[in-house]
Amino acid sequence: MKKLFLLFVLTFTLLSFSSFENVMANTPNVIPNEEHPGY
Amino acid sequence: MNHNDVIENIGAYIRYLRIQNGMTQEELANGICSVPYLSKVENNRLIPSEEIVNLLLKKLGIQIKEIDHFVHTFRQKLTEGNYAIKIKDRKSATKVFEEIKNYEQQIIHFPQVLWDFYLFLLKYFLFIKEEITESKKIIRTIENIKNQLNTQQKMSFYHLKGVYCCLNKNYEEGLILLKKAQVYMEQTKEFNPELYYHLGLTYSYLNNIILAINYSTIALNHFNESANYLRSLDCQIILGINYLRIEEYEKSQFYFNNVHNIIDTFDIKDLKGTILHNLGYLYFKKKEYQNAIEYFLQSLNHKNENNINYSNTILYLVCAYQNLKEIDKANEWIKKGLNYAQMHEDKTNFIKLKILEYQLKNLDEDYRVFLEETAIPYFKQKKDLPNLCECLEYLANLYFRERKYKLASINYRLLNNFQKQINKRNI
Repeated sequence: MKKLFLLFVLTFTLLSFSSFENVMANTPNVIPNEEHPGY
Repeated sequence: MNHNDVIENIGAYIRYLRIQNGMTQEELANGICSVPYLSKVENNRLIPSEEIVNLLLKKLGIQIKEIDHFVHTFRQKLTEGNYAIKIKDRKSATKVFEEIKNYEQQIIHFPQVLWDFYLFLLKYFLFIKEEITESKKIIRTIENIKNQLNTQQKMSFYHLKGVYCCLNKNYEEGLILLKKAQVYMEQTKEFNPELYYHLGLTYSYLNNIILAINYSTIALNHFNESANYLRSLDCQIILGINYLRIEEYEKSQFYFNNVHNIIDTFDIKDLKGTILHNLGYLYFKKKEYQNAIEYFLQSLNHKNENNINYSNTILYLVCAYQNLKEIDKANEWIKKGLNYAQMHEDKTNFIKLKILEYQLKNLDEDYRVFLEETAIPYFKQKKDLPNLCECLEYLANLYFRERKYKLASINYRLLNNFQKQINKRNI
């Protein structure tokens, strides 16, 4: 039972990590520190 | 469009004039040609002889010369308007817009002129009126007929659509469209420095330093040759920003000072706040905080409070005071900055100022809660990787200081992964 619980916790942690990182795939990378001229 | 082009596209216009005159096909064709022949002409399925065109138009009370003259004058107006937009002459561009905006119904029968008219409208709403909703409507209209555009028009369309995406801060999609425009530009064999400028600017927003410098340098040479000094200044600002990013301070300073001097000589107010901020940021990166503060303060003086970059300058001003350990001044500007950011719903800078406030006040517990519950979720949702990385580092450092190494390592790991993503894109 304890092993099963540990396995569940581990899977949950791994899943939450991978989904967090997937959200960030293909995201813009805008650096706002400098001021650009207009379009 | 020359005389022959007018003849080739005349069918739909004859139909338009016939209906305007309240005539049936039978009435108009009577004594000139058969009804089926006229029907084919009107549907542009047959190019009529000039003699028949003249007879039909005579019956409709107009001469081919008048149509030639109308199309020619309209084209001239479009060229005039496009030039005014190019040199940012808002007054002349608006004048042309007012003159030709009501002619859509007449030129609708000359497709190539109509497409050029739509492209002019799109340019006008993007660059002069800066109206995103209206621009979107025109893009949709052109989208429906884009297969009928010639190479030059396709280049313009993808160029303008790319700019539209970038103005909506969708730089990655904008870049794809601008690159598509570049392919069409190469087919026309006519260099378009404006397109190169926009590619340079977009690469700069995406932090692709090499290509930002590359495209801006090429565009700069062309703008200098054609004496387009406003665009030349814009290119020099992009070059200054990107040389600063790779810590080539002398080159960066060269371009920024050059722009600064020219702006002063010609009294160009629009760019003053921008260039002063960038000079401030240059000294900030060089750790010359006193100089940085002077430029940031000057930049704020020249900026309208509605300027979207106003709170960005305040943010770096606070950082400069913080580095000089002038805590009272830093706190004073944080207060002003927070008020301003809140008033203008600038949540990014509000969060960044709030973080500085927590750092200055050493409120570790509140700071950690703010990072975890507000800052990190917000930057994650905004997909703002650089700011997200910064917050993850602050959070990891906090846990590390509290000897919560497991939590610290989770955040360092995330930070490392996102940093890799940023680096991959910058190659």
